[in-house]
Amino acid sequence: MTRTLAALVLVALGLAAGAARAGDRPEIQITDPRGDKTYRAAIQRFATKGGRSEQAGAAVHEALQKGLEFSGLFSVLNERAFLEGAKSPFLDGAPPVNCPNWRQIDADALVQGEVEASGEGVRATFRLHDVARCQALVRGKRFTGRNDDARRVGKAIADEIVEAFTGVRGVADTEIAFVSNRGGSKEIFVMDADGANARAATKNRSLSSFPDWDPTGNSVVYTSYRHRNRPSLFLVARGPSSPGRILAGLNGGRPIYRGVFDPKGSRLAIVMSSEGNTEIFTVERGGGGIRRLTRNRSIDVSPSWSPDGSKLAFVSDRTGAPQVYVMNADGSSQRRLTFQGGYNTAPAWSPDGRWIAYEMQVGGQFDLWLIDPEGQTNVPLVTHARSDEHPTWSPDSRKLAFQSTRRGRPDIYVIDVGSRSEDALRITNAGDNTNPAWGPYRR
Amino acid sequence: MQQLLSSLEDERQRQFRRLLILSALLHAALGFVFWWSPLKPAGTALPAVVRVDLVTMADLGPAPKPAEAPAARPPPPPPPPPEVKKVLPKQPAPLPKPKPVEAKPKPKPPEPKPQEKPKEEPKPPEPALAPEQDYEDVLAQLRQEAGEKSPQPVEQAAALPAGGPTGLGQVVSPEVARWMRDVKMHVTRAWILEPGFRLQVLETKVEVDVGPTGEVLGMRVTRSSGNPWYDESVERAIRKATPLPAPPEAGAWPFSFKPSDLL
Repeated sequence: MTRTLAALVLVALGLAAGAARAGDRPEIQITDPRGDKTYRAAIQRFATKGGRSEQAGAAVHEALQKGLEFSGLFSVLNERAFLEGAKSPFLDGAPPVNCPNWRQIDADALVQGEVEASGEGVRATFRLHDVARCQALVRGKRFTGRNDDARRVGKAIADEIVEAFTGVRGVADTEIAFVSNRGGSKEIFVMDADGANARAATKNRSLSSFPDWDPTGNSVVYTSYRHRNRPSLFLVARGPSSPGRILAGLNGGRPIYRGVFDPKGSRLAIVMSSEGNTEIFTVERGGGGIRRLTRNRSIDVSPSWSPDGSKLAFVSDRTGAPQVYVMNADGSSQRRLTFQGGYNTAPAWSPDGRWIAYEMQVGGQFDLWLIDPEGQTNVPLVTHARSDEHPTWSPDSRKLAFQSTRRGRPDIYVIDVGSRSEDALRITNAGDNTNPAWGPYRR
Repeated sequence: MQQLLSSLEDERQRQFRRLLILSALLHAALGFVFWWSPLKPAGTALPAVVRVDLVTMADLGPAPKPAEAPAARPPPPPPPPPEVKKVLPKQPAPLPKPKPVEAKPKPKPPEPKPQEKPKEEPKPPEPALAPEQDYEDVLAQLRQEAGEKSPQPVEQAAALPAGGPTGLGQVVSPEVARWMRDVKMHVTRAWILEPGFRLQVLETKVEVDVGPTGEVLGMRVTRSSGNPWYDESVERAIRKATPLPAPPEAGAWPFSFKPSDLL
């Protein structure tokens, strides 16, 4: 008994001494994780049952790999480096993850799963392991879709993995609307965020431009001249039918050059002719409650909503040259935001509210810059010798899509913002492609 | 005649005395003038004595404590997604194709861009930010070199590779300083930071139990950044960096993770 007590006292003293010493020791400060380091993902091919599942499994695997790489936050390990099989076990009753085996090949994430395809569609379940901490981040999550949704399922899993590691969902499973003349006339097209699966959304055979997504992601508003050769707003929606022309009778049918949905989708900011120039208005989706926000003899265009819908960035040449301004959503407190550069336009407010991307004319071409909404920080983002225009944010605020003539003809490119990389990824390859509009997270 | 000579002599002596007195008075007056002269510099012409105390960094004691986490720290994000099964919504049909309408020539720009007016040449873009110099490393190296070359006892000359609440000014041996620098490099290499975190003010403090051969025996978050994903990236970095270089002393060592390059 005495011995036990003495031992306990010794242990307590030891712990106290250890704690005191930890506090006394100098702190090792880690401040500068350099380079564009990425998490390394080991993806085992999902277990499948039956021939149809094999095909779906391959599609899921490929889309998952591409989706993770598209995030810019992950690189995918070659399965030939695996110390274990390339094929995932079925998750039900799968053996526990042998972390040292994956740590040894420098994997940060291990992805396992299973895919089943049947007449009812594709069903994929995955689990995600944090190798360094040897902990499950996702124990089992299931995605289902139609048989031709296998690629979407893979991308959705990739976005989940990005979220599990960073707290913010990835954007592989999102879409970008844009304008292309690849079919002859300028039409609205929609493609996956990585440029895959591009398809025409309109066949107006008329000039269409300025697409903008409804925040639900179910429809796109755009400008077209198909009605009496005058600019008007149209809506194209998923599903069997589309509303077509909207806000038709507004202010006696005056030309509307552009419409942008507010973050709730209940109102639009529109650019409309008024007293010989263009002014910015807001109006309910159905056409009611019109409110004029700008009133002057100058041109006011390019509205972009703040993510909370309380403010708008826009462009005005009221001082003689186009500059970016910010105002409240009721038109009050209009203030100039950009002072550097003689010609600034096309503001795009980031979904996280931190930045407004815009174009600055530099020596006859346009660069992309970022400015914070208070105008304290103003930094160049894309400064290519050719023009980079029409920035649009991904819903996670990590990326920007824009149009660029760096190859001669305009194409759509995507760039990672946080890394400040100028290695923009070109995601279109046919015709002239302009006016990208990144869609919201898909629900 | 003699009387005349005598009176002349007396007169000469009187004159001499008068001159002497006059000279003395003049000297006194000049002295007084110089003493009271307005040209006299105010105060002493010598610079004030500046007392310089040469001290080693070790004498300074702990540096001021850094500010606590800023109030503007983002609120803790929601907990990690629950392990629930999610059903992917059915792939919506591709956006429908409206009925073709007659082609109408209309090559007008839909939204007129404001007319460009002659402007002065826009300023060239700001130069990209220069790569961050690892100040702490350089400082540590300089201090360490100073310590090794100094004839003074190493305890006074050697300093830490990293400042901080208990860092700057704390006395450590060159061996410890060297180990801390190596550990810093080792852990920095293992730390993968999502670029988005660089744009936020985040700091996580952990205490790591380091075994005699550098193995990580355990770790505790002593101050969370408030962002669980950021905290996890820190823990991941420590785990990936295992084993650390063998420490001069096994035991608990404090670490702080805070990106310095915010843009």
